[in-house]
Amino acid sequence: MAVDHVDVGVCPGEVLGLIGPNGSGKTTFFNLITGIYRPLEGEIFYKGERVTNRSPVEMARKGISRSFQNSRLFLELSVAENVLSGMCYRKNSGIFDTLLRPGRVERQLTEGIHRAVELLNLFSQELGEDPFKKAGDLPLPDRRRVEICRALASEPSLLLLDEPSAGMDPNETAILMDEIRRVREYQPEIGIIIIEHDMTVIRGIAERVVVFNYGKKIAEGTFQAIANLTEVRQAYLGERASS
Amino acid sequence: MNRSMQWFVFLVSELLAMGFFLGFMMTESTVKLTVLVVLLALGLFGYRRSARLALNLSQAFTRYKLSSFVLLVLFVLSLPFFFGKSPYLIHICIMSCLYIIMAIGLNFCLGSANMTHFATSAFFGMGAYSSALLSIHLHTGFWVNIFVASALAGIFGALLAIPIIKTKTYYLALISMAFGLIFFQFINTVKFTGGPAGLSGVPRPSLFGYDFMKGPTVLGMVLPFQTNYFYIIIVFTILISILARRVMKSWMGLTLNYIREDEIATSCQGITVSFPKIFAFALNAILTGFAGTFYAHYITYVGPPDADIMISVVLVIIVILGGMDNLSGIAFSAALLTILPEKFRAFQDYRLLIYGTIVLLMLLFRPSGLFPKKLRVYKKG
Repeated sequence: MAVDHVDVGVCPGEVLGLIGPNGSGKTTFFNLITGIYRPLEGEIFYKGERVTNRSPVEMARKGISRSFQNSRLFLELSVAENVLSGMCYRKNSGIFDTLLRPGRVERQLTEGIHRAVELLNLFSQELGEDPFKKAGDLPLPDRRRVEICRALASEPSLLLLDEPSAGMDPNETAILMDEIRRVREYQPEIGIIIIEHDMTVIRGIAERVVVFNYGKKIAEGTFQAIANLTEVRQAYLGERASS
Repeated sequence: MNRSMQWFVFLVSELLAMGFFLGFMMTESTVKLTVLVVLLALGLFGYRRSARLALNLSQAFTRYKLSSFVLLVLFVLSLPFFFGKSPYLIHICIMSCLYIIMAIGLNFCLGSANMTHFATSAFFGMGAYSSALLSIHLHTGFWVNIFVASALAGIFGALLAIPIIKTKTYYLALISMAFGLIFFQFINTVKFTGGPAGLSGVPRPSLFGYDFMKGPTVLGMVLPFQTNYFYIIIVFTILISILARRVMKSWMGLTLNYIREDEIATSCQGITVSFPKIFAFALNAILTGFAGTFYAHYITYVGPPDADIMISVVLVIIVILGGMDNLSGIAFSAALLTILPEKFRAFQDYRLLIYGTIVLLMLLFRPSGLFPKKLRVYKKG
């Protein structure tokens, strides 16, 4: 069992850090929340509503958005179109408009693209410079940032970030942390759960930290509080309890 | 490049292409044809090799998009006058149009959403057979059938899509091929569809009492009767390409592209995945069924070879060769792969060998096709 009897909650406006060794069930936890996996037992509540066993599409439409550990951008499409995908389900026009009123559809699409470019600019000036570049042509750190931007496009109230800083150097990580802070400035109500291996990120932005090991929650608290716990040090550093 | 230069480049290349097409169609000797094919291959190679040439050409054609379209339509409409002496050439042009329509249909599945399927023959057979059965049993004419039979093929396609889209990639290809074979065996066995003998006596179309068996006389020149069909199919091909373009540029086209790139990411963005896929299959089946209907009324006979699985294979090759999700590329390769085998009748036995070689070479060296898809362009505003 990858995730076993964990009890994790997040409030609006909070940044929750989720840490744990490789294979401890952090990503599986995300997959359960977003409906990609179905739990065998247990309940998931979102805004007071029971949302266990919903499909990924339903969860996304309820306002849960995520990025992926191995970046899953639409590589053959442009950066702006990637971001546009977050607005797609709300704007999708019917088949009659598509066939008979192409001008209207084109206007909608152009509007969406402009909003996407605005969002890119807001998130990072750099990405907004060339929004019509193929996403596959971007370097890896930029791809992750576009992915976060894409997740924000649907105006979620819960954002799940799966190792956003993987493959970034310390400098890029610092920029990323700034960008995540800026997201909270613009959307103070948004709840964020962030999976990270880089402790500077967790220390810098997470208000509360949950530690997973072997699919179980072994600790919860502020970074300072959990950093000194024996169980956590054991799980991470393999220290013996006696030492 | 300045404006007049662009105009010159555009005009010369368009006239050159038209001249080449006419020359190719009217040449009979195999040696000369081979020389022309080599020239065409060299031209394409140069186009793909020289980035500057490609850029200049595409810029010139983007600027004079409308003129190039109008010129092309005028040229196509005048073809029967060039081919007046030989009905066979007009027949080849009609078949090219049918293949272009089918390729546009398959592109929704294969090009836009990357679902390689081999059910095209079943859709084509469905269109051909349902229009034959409708006109034999219910005495409906061509103009009713092109709508009813295409719609029936569309429903058939959507129903087939429900089990097909539960699988992906190779499995999707295999399961669709199985459906194609089942359909073929079905019409080959069942008495209602005439069995191996097929159904003959599909009526020819009529329009306000106009006789489609009589060739039109224009400026004292009697054209073969195929000309009638040629003009009808040209009108439909243009109409269908315009509508297909609208779908590809719409939210639906974009959604299919998202699905092609990453299905899980698409559903995590709140976009339903199964409906667009079924929609793509239905559109594919409607267009292919339309081609089948037209074919049935044109040949006035339908038989099991009309649902031969080879049709599906050729269509997949056309879309791969032309370029996934690039309408003009696909139209080019559909015409190319219809005309070439007809002009090289002498090498009929090697047809499949050549097709196989084409696929192999394309996948090895140009996986995105002769004319790769382009990023969408949005208005600034």
